[in-house]
Amino acid sequence: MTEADLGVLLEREAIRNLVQQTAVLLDKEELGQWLDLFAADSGYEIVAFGNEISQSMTWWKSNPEELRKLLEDVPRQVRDTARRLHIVIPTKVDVSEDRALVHSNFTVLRTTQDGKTSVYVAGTYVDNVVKRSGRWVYERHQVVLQTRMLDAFTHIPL
Amino acid sequence: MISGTEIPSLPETHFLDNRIFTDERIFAKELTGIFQKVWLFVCHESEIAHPGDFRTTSAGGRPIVVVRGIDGEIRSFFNVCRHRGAPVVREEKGNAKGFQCFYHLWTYGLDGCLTGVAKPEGYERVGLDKSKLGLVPVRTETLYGLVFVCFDHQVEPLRDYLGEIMEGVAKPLGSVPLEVFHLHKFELKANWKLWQDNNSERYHALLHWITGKKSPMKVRICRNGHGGYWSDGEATVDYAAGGFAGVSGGVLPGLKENEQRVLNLFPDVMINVRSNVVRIDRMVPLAPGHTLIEWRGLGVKSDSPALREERVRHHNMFWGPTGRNLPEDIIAVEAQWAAMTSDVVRYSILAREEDLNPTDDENLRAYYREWGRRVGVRASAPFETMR
Repeated sequence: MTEADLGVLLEREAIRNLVQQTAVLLDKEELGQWLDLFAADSGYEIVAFGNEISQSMTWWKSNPEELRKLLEDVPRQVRDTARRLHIVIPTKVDVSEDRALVHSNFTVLRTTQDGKTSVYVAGTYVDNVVKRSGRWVYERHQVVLQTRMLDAFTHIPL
Repeated sequence: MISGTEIPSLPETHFLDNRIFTDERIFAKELTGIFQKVWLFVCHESEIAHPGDFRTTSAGGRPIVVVRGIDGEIRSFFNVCRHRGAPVVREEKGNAKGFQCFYHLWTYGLDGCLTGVAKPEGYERVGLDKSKLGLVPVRTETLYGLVFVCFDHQVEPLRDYLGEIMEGVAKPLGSVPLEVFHLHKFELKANWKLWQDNNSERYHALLHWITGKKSPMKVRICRNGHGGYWSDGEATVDYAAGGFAGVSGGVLPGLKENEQRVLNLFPDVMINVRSNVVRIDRMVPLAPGHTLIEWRGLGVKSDSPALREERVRHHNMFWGPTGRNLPEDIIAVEAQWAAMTSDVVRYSILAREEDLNPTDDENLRAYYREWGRRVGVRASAPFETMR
């Protein structure tokens, strides 16, 4: 293995860590730290394809500034009290210098206050990540949901 | 001694027996007394925009296929094969030149006529009359792009049934072609009427800290149980509180910037128009505590991509599944129904009288007067009249 190959592997590992860290921070509801994983000029989206209308639907689209405002307000809202647990598996990490395209399949498990767990959503993260100041951050973090009928709606990102 | 089952000391129009939301017998009466005898919204015409486009759904517990014919006419049929009762169309949406039942391959035209049977020689001895074995048609009419069906031929035409309440949306829905850009579903663990109530009464806006509260609106009460509330002037939603910029374009015809209009069509359709977007709620009652809800978001068909993106954003920031408003309503209504099943507090209070200001309960009282008339019981004492 050449030094260059090793460098690519290390970058891939760093990107996989970014994706896993995203999930961990959401599960802990460390939303401020979650936002720190985004570049200042980035975007977050949740989309789902609506079979009934034969088109993709955008359920959430915000830049970091909008996200920060929305997430700061979350404690003031009446919301789902269930705990969540992300299971994320990166399936594609294509690195090209200081940019990468990442696909990760994920599910979120939802555990209600009485301890009942069910699969909440399944989908794919489709991410563009960039290396800024020596660390990988999201330029675009897109949540592509397969699940369209949720057991509960959500005030926080998926 | 305080008792949760003591009849309130109020006029009987001003309270409900909560068992109308939980009792199986009441639910069965609703299906026959209401859902077989009113116009039921099934889809927007943009969902079947082209000849051959179809949508399948369930209305009043019956499987329906709505289809636009070659002649452009929108028709509906029971989605059940005349041969052995299998569903003829199994896709939720599509485009077809005709329909073929997957089971024994009987075929039907877009007009419902039976056009072919597999191995026809087997029917020669009995002289099967195909002209009498078309798909069973369902009465279908549209108003302002909204497609309704009705199972009862005695019911007045759709426009008359809906009446003057539709004046509130005649311009925004009826003067420019709209199309559905958002459709999501949810299985509500609550009685269907509680969702209608939630949209009808403005009092619960206290639940939503994010919603602007400048509301010089008036409750509108119309015949057949339809109601709503809106202003003839400004009625502001505080977009900034949601972290979004205000409406910058695309105000729908007949509306002012930041205006909101809310219509509740008896028994189960809600139309919310907020300046630049339209939300339509459709319910399919499945059981006393189980309701399928479909939410549609609509914009103007000729929108530029940028304007459509803004409409989508403004729709979803409140009314999408990740919005700031809809999730709170769902939590409230499901919790309400779960508590109601205990029957430890038997009555709901609908006693606010405020000269038709938005938090007046008169629209709820009017709704339950119509409900009682159709179901044949009093909402305040449903079992008294059933005995």
